[in-house]
Amino acid sequence: MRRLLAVQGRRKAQAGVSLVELLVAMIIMGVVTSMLVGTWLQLNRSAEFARADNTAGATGRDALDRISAEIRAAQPLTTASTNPFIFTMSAPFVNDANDCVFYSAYNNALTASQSGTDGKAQLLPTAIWLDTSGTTPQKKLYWERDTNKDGVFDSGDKIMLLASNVVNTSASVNKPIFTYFFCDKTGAWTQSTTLTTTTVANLVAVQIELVIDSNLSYKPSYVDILSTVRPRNVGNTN
Amino acid sequence: MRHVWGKRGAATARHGARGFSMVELLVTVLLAGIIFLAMVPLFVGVLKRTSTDTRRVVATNVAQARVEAIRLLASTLGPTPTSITEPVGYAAITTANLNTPGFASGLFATSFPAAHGGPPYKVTYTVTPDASATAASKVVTVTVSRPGIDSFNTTLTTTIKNPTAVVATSTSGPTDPNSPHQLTVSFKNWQEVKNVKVVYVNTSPTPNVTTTATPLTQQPSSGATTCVWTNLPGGLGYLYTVTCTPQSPSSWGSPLVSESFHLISDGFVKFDTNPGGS
Repeated sequence: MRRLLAVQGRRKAQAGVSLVELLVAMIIMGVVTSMLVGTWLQLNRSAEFARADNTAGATGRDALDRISAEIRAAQPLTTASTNPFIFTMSAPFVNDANDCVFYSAYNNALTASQSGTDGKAQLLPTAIWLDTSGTTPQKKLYWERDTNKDGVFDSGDKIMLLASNVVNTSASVNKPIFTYFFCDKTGAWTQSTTLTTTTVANLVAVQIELVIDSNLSYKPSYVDILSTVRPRNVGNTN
Repeated sequence: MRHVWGKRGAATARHGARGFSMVELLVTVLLAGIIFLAMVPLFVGVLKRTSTDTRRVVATNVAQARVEAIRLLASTLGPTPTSITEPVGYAAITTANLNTPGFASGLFATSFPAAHGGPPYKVTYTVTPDASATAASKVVTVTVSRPGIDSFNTTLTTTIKNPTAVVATSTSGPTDPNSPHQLTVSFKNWQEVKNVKVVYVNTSPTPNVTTTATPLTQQPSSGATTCVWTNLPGGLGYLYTVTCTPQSPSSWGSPLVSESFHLISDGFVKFDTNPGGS
């Protein structure tokens, strides 16, 4: 009898769990696991967003600083000319809402062929231009200089990517990168998104606005970065 | 007795290995659910705060750009100066002007539509002292906010200096260009000239006023080979010329006339009465 009871006790102790208990446990574990996985994914996404946001913001600010310095240092090609900007190029190398072209020696290392001159040879056509090709709203903004000195922008020139996530031309944004402000000798102010041989004489300032998408992988997150530049060598005498 | 103890021990062991009942499990799940639900507002708050931070960054960028523009263009914002004493655009930096949407063709727009959508940011300006053309400096405060959406205000302050502020009573440092100055006229050979005259034109009034400085003419001599005029009006508003007549007819023409010049400090003019010679 004692032996029988012992066997029954052992069998009862080793009976395990019922199917219902197992299912409930699995459901609970499933719920908890899915919550943990969701939280983990969200944390990863947040970290990625923070990285992308920081990188995009820093890239945008760097690009804005570079553009500001270049435009501030724009110079006329000859001392007789008061116009440091160029109008004879074809798109995208023109002065409009998304592009700006000018003569500049900024950050131009002196070469042997340029030494011993009055420095004029260092003034090269320089362009800040937006590559609007492609269907994605994020566009690439480039800096380019006519370093092979053939008077046009071509494959032999130095080109540098300033920012790759510019969304100024996105349908939901549609903001000019360059806005030109003019003041004539009567003190009247006007603004435009283009420069002409007539208006450049009264150019006072260039407002630059970059709209950066800092969340490329997910829902767009747009940040406006802007600055105002006064070219040192424009013809305005006000 | 051992048997009873044995039975009780087995019962206790069986009770201890029984696990949780369904009711206990459900209550636990319910409690866990309540705790997680209580944490939801925390997550929502964090997400909302992240979004607010983005808008705050944009607001700061806008405020910085406005401050930059004001500092950069402070001397350009007003009407064209007509004299050196006019404070150029400085006087135009007023609370009313900066808060006018069309001022400077909208360069300081009081509304900024952000690319991320939603209501535009509101930009307001305060200038202290306001509407003063003579104060040595002005403090400009730029505040960017989104009324009704976000509770934050981003405020930046800058100081604009009066570009034409001149310390007229200073006894050291550069001379005030508008104060009276002395003009000395000398000659390569004082014996070859006579009737030296200084004429200046006041270009401020219309028509301009031409005056011959006193003494009206001077004659260099062996005792004083230079001619000196004192107390002449200075500044860019007066245009000077010096003339003299050769003692004898020459190929230089008569009278000899200097280039026009402004007198912004004590000046010195020398006539070469024998160009290329000794």
